Amino acid sequence: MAGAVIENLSNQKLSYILGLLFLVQIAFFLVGAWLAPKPTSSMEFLFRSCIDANVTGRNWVDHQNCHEIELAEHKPLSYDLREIVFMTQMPHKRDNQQLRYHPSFQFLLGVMQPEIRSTAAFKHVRGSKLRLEVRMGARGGGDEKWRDWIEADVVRELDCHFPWGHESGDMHCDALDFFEIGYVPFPFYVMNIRIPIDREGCARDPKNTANCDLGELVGLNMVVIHQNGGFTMVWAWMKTIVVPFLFLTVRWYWDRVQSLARPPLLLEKAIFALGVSTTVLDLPIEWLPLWFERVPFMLLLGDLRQGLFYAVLCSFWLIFAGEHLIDDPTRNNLKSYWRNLSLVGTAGVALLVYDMCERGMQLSDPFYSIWSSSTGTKLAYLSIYLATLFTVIYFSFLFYKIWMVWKLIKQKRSNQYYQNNESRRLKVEAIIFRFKFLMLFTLLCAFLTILSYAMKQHGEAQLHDDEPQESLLTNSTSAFFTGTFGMWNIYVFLLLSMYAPSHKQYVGAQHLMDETEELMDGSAESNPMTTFLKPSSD
Amino acid sequence: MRRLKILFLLLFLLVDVIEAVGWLSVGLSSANLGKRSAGTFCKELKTLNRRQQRFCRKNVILMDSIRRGAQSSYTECQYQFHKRRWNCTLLDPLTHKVIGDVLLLEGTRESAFVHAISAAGVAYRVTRDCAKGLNDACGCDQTRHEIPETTRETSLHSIVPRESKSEFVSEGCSDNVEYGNMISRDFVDAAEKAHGKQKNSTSAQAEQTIINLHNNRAGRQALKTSLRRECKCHGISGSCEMKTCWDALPSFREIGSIIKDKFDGATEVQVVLGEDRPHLKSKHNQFRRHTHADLVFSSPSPDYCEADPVRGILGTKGRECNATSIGTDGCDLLCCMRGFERRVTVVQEKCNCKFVYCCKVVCEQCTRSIERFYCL
Repeated sequence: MAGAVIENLSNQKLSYILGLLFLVQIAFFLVGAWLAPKPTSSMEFLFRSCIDANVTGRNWVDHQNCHEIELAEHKPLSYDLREIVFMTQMPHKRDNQQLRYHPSFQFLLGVMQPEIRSTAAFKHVRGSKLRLEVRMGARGGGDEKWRDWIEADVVRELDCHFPWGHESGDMHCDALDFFEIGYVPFPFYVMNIRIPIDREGCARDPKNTANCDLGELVGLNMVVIHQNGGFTMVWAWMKTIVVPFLFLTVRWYWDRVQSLARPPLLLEKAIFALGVSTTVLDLPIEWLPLWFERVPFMLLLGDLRQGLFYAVLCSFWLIFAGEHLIDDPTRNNLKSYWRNLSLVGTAGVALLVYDMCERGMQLSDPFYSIWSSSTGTKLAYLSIYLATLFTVIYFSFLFYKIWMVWKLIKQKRSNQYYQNNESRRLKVEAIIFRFKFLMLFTLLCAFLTILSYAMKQHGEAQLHDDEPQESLLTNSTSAFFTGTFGMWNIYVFLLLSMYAPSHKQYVGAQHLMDETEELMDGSAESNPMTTFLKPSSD
Repeated sequence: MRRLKILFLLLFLLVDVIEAVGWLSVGLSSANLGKRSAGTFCKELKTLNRRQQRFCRKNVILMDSIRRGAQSSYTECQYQFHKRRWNCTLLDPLTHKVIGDVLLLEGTRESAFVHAISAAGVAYRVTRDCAKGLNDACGCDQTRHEIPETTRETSLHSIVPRESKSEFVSEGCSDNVEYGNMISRDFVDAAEKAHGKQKNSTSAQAEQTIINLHNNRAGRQALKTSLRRECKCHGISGSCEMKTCWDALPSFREIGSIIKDKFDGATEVQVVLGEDRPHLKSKHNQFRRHTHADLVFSSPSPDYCEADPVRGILGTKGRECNATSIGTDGCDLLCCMRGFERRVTVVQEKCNCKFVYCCKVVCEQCTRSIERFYCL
């Protein structure tokens, strides 16, 4: 990469470009802050308890035909209490209008919060299991009747505790992951849940039989989360606008690399891979659910694209730092990085396994959760711990490598040979500048990503307050989403355009940092970027 | 003639005042809307004042929630006070009339509690019923459009129908306790405002109105602060990169306990007529100033020992007490040192039950004597 664009750019031009990109970054942020609503919404559904003596029937209980009972006053009709149906219809009516779910919601996530009371007669035993027979029906806009959609037998372990200072009575139960549906094909849904009690099982082995040691079930409370349609629109449009730019940049970059007289370098290939994976991440597949009815894989696909981007980004950093170890003879060979890259690979595969087991399985059974079985929990913990471990090793290694590069830079500068040979000095200074520029820029992006993550957490954790003191920052979670998205796109865009081979030199360009290369003609000596760095090296 | 007119007016006002918490008896009525019109249904709820009648006709669909809110408030009040001399008997079970006049006219601590718990109860039940899908009229998250309670003029028309459908698709509809609080404000506070605004209401009544409104608001505030923030992470591989939070309602028992704590720490206040609007000032300056969330009262409570039907005090004669306790339910305190009697009853009970395969439970009959103590 003899002479990347960045080395041949005047200070003035570079600052213009950076300034322009800074404005673009602010635009990304403002799009989120002004145009987009909150990314997600939740709606609460308290199940009504109805009587339906027709236990084996396939009929649906909805608001119209629910014979509501008070659970505490109910006299059991059957042996297993199957006649009680917990029912809810989604979404609610609000302001006297029937709301409808929309395909642009992308996904529906359900969280179940059972309300449990522990009394002397019905004692709650820690870690008891709740088993629900769930039937979910759906209805289109023109349909009269509910159609069968999903059926599942759900078992979850409860985690309940008494509020501070109480020893009996109402308990606080942790929310249970209930379902994840990666598309929203119908506007209306109904859910019927029966909670059968196997009395013989309870008498024999209450520990391992579900629904025995629950305590008194007071009610079922479900929260359903979806992505807001307005946010989806802003997000999809933003991607639609960004992706052609990025695609063209990647093409331009690769054309430049291809037109060199030598085969592409590893670093150039790495930048290209990063550009491609970012383009894949930017493809606006959010439009798909609006065009096609059945696309249940939106959540999984989103995870895969994001995972790919992170894996390529991490690999790129490693290669970039490695390729700047100027005297390392093993450079420019992917094989020499296999040990380092296997860190990224293993972490990525571990998370992929977890994701396929959780969200992949949910394609066939949305009520599936890897955490509900003991083997599944072990597997999930194994993959997450493995991924965490390898990520930690990766970053320690990356920082070690960066530190090595810094040390090398210092060493080079104090080197006698380097001091005497002017063209050699300029060459090394160019490499140093290139490295420093990307380092600082990467650090800035990483810092801003962490900051925006923190702001998102902070904004969401705030209790609803109707006092107007709520600041802009806690209210604009969307702005942090669009801002971070824009920032990484700008990062990749800048990499592609700044680290592309400069056309001023590329005809005669040789291997990167070739020691024997006949160096630096007149144009390089007047290179402003290397002189720009000079004061810091003295 | 003129004097007679004033007397008549006063009598009329007295009736009006007595009904300030009178709407609580809505909780005991088994009235269901059925096929009746809103007008006749609301007229049957005689304890509502004019403003509340108007609210009822406009939002008749909410009246069932309000009825159950009143019920749970009353049950909770009796639970919180079952160990005390005043055990929150407010409604005559036969006549369905409010009997605790002390509450309404004297502005005691107990009155503060009843106002707070009933305002919270209505808000709680309305919120729960919205989550159940029982009320089609429920609104979405009002926080974005809301003006703080202090400056807001309560109106009965505040439930403005919006273009919910398209708004829901675009930005969702997170429902929380705000809607319930708004209904509570409109309905429960209407009980006070009606005579608070009358020109010729006496200053004592106006003061009582201010105190009652304050306590209503403190009750709703207790409900709001009792909310638990729960979150779900749903980013890549379930990470917290994407996170959605909501406010979970606790059980009403918890809210009752919070208000009971506020009852124990209530502040005695007097109404001071300022330049623009009257405000509440603590009677004892050495104590910390009360906040919007604290309960306030204006007159000390009686000891509730002896029955005084005129003031609506039942007395503690005949109440069951705990001979071994040294707390408020102990026989000494509860019976006001008048002494107590011991009664032993023998009961037949099922005991030593066995589960027989399959499927019945066989028990033995046991006799057990139970010792109970009652105030003289």
